[in-house]
Amino acid sequence: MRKTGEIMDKENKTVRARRGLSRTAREYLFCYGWLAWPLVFFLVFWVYVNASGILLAFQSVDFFGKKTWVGLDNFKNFVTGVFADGDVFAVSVRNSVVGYLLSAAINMPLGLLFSYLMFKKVPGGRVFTFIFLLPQIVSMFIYVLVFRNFAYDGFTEFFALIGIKVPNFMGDPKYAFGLTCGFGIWCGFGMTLIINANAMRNIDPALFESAEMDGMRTVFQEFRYIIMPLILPTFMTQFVVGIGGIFASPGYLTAFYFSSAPVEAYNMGYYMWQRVYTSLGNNESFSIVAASGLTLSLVVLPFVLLARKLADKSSEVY
Amino acid sequence: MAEIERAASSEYLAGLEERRKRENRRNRAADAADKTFRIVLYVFTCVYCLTLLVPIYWLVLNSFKDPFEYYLNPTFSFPKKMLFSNFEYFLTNVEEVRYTATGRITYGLPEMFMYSVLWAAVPPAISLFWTFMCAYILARFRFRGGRFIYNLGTVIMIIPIMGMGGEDIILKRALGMYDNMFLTMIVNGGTFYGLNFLILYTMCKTIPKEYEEAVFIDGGGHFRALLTVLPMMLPTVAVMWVMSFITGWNDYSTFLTYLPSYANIALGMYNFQYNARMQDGVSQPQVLAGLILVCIPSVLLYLVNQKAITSKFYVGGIKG
Repeated sequence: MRKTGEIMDKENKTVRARRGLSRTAREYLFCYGWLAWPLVFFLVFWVYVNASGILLAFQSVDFFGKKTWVGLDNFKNFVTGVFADGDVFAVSVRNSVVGYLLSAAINMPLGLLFSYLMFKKVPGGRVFTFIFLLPQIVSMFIYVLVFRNFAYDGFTEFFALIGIKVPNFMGDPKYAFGLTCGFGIWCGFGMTLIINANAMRNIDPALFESAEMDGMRTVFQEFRYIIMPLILPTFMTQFVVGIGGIFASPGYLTAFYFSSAPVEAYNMGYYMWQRVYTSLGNNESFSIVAASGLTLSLVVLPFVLLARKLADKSSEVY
Repeated sequence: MAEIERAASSEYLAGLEERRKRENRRNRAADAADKTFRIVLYVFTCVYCLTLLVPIYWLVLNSFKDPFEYYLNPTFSFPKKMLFSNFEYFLTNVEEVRYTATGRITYGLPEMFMYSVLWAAVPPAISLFWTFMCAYILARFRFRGGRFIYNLGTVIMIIPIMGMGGEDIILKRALGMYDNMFLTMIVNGGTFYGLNFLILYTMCKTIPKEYEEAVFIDGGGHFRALLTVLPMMLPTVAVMWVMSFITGWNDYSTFLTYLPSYANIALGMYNFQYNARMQDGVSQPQVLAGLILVCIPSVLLYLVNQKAITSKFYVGGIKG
């Protein structure tokens, strides 16, 4: 009897303790309790890494890892390189920008049209979807290896079958940028197709029906008046994220050439990865990598903010 | 008067008729142009898909060839004899040698397979758990700091600070995480921002509040409310895991950069084909057979989940 009383007393205390916390306090406890771990991770692996990386951009590191303050020297070296003809920085920056512009000009509109086909459930739509995603499913890495082997041994053979003589693209460094860029455009649709098609599927079908009753007849009208306005937030999100990654992504260079790509094909993402990967414990090149990355982040920032502002504005209009 | 009215009305009717005919002509032209466009788009899509299939066709065809036949005969010809020995050779001979401070480590197929499965399955699972938790909390609760954390997540995603890979390696070496499989898996699963976060956040936002309210009325707390919402999100989370698994299965660069003492199948495959290029006793058909074997798990995973994969991904805007 006494034991039961004790248990009841304990339970009452627990209930009182729970009631003691207000609903807001409990909400805060729940939210920050779960967010604590990701936030600690963020502080260590994002804030700390970036803060010390920014400091590193103003220092030089010797073979033994000793750091010396050099002010803006690393930035000067980078900027001088960007404007020097044939310098690795000039080539890398140019290739990053050209690669992005080409892929944006070709893949974005084409990707929308492919997504439209997926959305419209045309005959063979599921097969199309499977094939569109093949480079992602089989993996871009394996697709590149197949393509590399194919380019070495099968490419000239294939074009010879249809009467076209083509040079050995893999063997000549002057084709390296065009080859990897072309590969990126060719295989670079992937998940964005699914995301866009699903955004189109989320549009209320009644809208299409009423627009048809109002005289909408063509694909162009469907795109202009219904699809584009309603999937614009999705589309702009991808656009903004894409701009932010112009100089960050090594593209397909690592898969094509691993750490020994010809300089003609370099882009900034690859340059930064290559310098870090081939360091083998020697941190000397980390400073110039940090300075170049930081400079390019500052260059990209206004474009990203502008794109985001435009995205917000266009979403408000519709 | 009546005659004038009749003439005017017939003129009006003729005008109407003319306008209707003009409109019909215009509509027919628009329909024809639209139909042509749809056909051109369809044909273009078919041609594009064919170009994606050509390398795969070439891969399958040549993986069954005898090395001599491969080098002598046209590469698009059917093999004279279907050789399965190329596959057998890959399964028995693929290995990866890693040179570390402690010495030389040789990995065979079973060890590489184990590391591939571990690497493909565990970090995405950890990452998706935390991504889901963050998306759920930031989308469903209004609390001080919540908006700031959400904005931080989106800002980090769209404005990556570049060139910090070096500092990342320095930190990981200092913390003993460099070349440590267990800790690398935990650290790689620690990020909560990115496209998956945006997708889950958008989904969490669209679930009606009534679900949680019903739980609160029944006397439940936040955790029970979370468990009520979770089943609705699970198919999407599963699809994300499958996609991340496929990416992880084929990831070799993490092993090269952060785990120099370990090897997975992707890395083994990468060096296997490199050896073939260097003519180090491995022939091209054997490499192609290896490539087919390596992609079987990802293709199977996709085929099993195809319907879910093609219907669960949706991203909204990134206003903040």
